[in-house]
Amino acid sequence: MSTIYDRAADSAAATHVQVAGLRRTLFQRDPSMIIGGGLLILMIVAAVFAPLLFTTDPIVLNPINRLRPPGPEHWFGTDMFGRDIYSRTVYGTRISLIVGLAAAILSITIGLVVGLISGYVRILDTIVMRVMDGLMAIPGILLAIALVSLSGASLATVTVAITIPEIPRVVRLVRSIVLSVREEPYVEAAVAAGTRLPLILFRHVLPNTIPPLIVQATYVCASAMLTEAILGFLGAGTPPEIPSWGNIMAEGRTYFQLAPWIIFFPGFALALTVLAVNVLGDGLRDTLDPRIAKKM
Amino acid sequence: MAEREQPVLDIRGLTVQLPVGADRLNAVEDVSFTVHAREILCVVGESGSGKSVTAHTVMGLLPRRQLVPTAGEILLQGEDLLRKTPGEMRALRGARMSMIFQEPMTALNPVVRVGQQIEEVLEIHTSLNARQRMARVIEVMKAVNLPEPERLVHSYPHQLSGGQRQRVMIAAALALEPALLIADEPTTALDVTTQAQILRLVKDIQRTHGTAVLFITHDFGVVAEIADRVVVMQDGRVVEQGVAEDVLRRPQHPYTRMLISSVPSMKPPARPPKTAAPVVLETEGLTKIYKDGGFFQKPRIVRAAHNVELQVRRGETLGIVGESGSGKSTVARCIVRLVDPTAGHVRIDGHDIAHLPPGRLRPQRRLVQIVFQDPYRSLNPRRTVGASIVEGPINFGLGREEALVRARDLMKLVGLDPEALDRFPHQFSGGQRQRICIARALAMEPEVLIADEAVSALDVSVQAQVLKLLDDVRARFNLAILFITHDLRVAAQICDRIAVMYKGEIVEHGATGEIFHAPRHSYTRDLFDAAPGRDFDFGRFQAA
Repeated sequence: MSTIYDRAADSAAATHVQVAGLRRTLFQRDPSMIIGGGLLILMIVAAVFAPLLFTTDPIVLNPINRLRPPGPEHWFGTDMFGRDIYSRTVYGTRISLIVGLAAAILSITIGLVVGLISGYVRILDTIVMRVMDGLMAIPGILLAIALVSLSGASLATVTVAITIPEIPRVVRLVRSIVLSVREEPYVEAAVAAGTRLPLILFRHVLPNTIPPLIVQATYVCASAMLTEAILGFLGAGTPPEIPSWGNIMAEGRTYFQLAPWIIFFPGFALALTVLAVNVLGDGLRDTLDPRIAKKM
Repeated sequence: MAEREQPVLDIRGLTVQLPVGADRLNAVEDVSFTVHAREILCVVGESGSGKSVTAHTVMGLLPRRQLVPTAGEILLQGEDLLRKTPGEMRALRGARMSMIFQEPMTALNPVVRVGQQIEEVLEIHTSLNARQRMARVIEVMKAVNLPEPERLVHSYPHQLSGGQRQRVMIAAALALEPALLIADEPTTALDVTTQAQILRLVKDIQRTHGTAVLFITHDFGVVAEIADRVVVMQDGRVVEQGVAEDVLRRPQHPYTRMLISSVPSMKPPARPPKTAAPVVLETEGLTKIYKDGGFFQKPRIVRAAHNVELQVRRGETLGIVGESGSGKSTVARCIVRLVDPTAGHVRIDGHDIAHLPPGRLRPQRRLVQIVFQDPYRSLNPRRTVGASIVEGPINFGLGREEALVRARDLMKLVGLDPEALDRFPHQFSGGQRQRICIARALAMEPEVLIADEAVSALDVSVQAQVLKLLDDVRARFNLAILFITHDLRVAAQICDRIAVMYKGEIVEHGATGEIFHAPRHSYTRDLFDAAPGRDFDFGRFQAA
């Protein structure tokens, strides 16, 4: 009945649907999204076009040029085997992004399916959620170390190890949205109209979960990249011959006082990438959820 | 009155600007009125009329930067509130003017004891010590007729009923004996019997304390019940003001006349009984029991509906009337099988659907359709209204093209432009959305249409139109309508027969005329006594 609140509700509903309008305002509203998104695009370009960016082979050893400081020849210096840190850092972007994106996509997809079913099929809910509680109790790093020692170090193993602990968080998020959306009259109207369950989930429930999931995906992506680097640093990540940022830093650790650039450049790249993804996530959250955006 | 004393509240030429891009320039435009001591002034209007914005402006509670007062003055006992600093306003709020809101549950802090919430006002504005404050809290709680105030001060809001919560709000508002009490739809969220008590309380307080009351409402029944004077607002402007009796009986402005004549009368029109038509919907011993609690807790059992027996004939409207929690919506949801009944039978055209498994239920779903209360949530905001309307028919094997043709016809039938099928729900008003929901239900070619409070969220003028539409489609398609409402006026106008529900059971049942003229059950009589403005026959204007 009250004007102010009617209007607020109206505008919230409107913002929800005007997809075209949303795209237009997406970047106007939040400069942080331009910064985050721009940095991330830069990283992706670097990863895809790594061979073209004045790099040399990142694994080729060149013992003569060991531990050279940054200079015109080697922009970021060389490590104890004479490998070019610039090339290794640029190629390392590939590993980080692959692990980050793969973990995000995998955990979101699996979490979405499990969450939708768990939220809508009440009989399965109790069982599924207890399994998820169990999964949540497993520390990601420990699981990764266990998996790597079981099946050997590979990119796939690391990705799986990072993905599994993220799944319960996604499931909980999706389930909570499903639980509230299934009470909406328009979902009940669809039930009364004889729409079958899979179609109800796909048509009426799923679209509500997308905006928060996109945001969640950025956080998963950022934390996956960090975990990958930690695992590499601990020596439980990708095989040492692969130039991932974690591996580069792990190898440079012993030479830290002698050649700090070995650790500095991949570390800086990692920090920058994670920051970019997080900033993008924050921006997306504010834009996709107008209620939070208004308060800020 | 020989000498006009200074009014408590004097609003002069108030204009409040809306943010750029709204549907109009100003939320409130050139609004002037006064409230005197010992007077209840009702501001009436439909949603969007600016009545709440006016009240919030007086309290200085407008959302910052979104709504800005640009002209006029608001004099509280001679002082202009628009010139006050936020600090000065804080000192005034609670002390010299206070406000009660529509939703007593959200207006109270759920994790603070109610006594403490009333005490807070005293703590901020007075120098009383703890014991004096507590004494005053109990005093005001007594003044608003809260039972056992000594015990209730230690309760949390969820332990109180809706009416008691609103009393607590009023107690907090009155703790400092403000000169002005602003009530923003304080009874809209309450049941009609509770509403009657709260209205009586507001009246008593105004009389005993001499408080000036600014009462915002959309309900002319409430206006007839308590107003001394009335201000009618439309689209941010005052269109008419005057003494309540004059405005209600001899309205001058066409908008006021339209509004008042849209209020459904408590006198049911004569309706021929439809005893010859076959029964389409029948329930027998329909019972729904909700069980709560997990493995370790003692289960909580709620009998939402018990032994409900209903019969609706083709072409007939049966009303289920009751307050919140009476189980009327549960009955509807059992019949549509949105919830599974615990026991009993639901027969549609003679087929029992009460316990059919999902696979065998699905073909029967077409026969019963439902229209919900909230027009803002009844349509999927991400789908065009066309897609929403054709969803059901396509489920039942109709081709998309044929379904769209049917949808276009139905849009015309419910009074909307068929070209609007490509639009999204947010592009329609509440009343239009409710029409779309009716079209969606009709697209299934049902035998039974259930309207679950389908007009309760609508403004009174829109309500009258949607009621008429429902009655038209009933006659046109020879539908059986189960009309669920808490509003006796609406029920009087549209229902052939009425069943009164109370605590999950039907306590009285009969032709609308009989029930209204000679209610037998004591609860039914209570309901009628509580209906605001029951003695007032709206729309029979006297010559001006």
